[in-house]
Amino acid sequence: MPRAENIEALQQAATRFKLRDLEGYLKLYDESVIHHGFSSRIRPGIPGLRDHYSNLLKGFPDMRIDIEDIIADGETVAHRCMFSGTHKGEFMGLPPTRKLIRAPSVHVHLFKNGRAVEVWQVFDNLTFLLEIGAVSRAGGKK
Amino acid sequence: MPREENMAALKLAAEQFKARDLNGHLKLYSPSVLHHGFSKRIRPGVAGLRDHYESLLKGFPDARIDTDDILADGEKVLHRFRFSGIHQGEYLGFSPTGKLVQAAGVQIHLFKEGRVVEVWQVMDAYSFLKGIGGVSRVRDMK
Repeated sequence: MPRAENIEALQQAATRFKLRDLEGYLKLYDESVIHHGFSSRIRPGIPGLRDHYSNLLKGFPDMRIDIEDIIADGETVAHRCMFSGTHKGEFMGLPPTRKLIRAPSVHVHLFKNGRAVEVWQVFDNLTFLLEIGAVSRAGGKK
Repeated sequence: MPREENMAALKLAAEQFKARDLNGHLKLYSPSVLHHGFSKRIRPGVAGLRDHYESLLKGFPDARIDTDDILADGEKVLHRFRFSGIHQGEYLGFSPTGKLVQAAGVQIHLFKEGRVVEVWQVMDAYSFLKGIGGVSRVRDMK
């Protein structure tokens, strides 16, 4: 049975993020949290997640992460989400493109004693990186 | 319990894929399955999934899908995996590079009466396309 308190904790964290309470959002995570699938340059633990979301908020001040589905099993809760935001600020050293960018993602959180001790992100970063001009297509078709 | 049957169906499908029994693998899906997050060009339904996997196996004959996690919640099963394969054949118009491509992915399957009626895929498409030379960095990152 999935644990209701974990689902609830994740919902509360999402609400805090929406209200731009980043520190409140980060209380979701245990200090020792191991994260996977975020930018490979971020530091371990909560400091890395803080950097990740701070940077994202600078680049996309109106960003939303809308939860489209929740899958919960035992101590794990997954969200299927859609990121959307307007590239209004510098991001990854690139100037704002002013484009509205949307990209799907999945976040899987493993809980222990009510806090997330491990989180995996899988994110359609190709669309994202193409839109902000960080990468360009080379050769081929599609 | 539907959850056990659904997980067993998914495991069987994975084994069939490994054994290159694509027809067997595709029996997991209802013919009218709704799919999201695969190549934009594929047709609706199981025919589109067939095309997708046939192309993938042409480009990556040794393709492996290694399971990292499976979550079951009601009629949904989330499968987090790593794709790996050597780019030995043409894929999406890209000539074989001989490179090992590895990319994380998630598929969420919605079951009804033992078959998948809807599937959402989110892939780390950047890593995948990078591996086949389909993108070039505009600036140093990640």
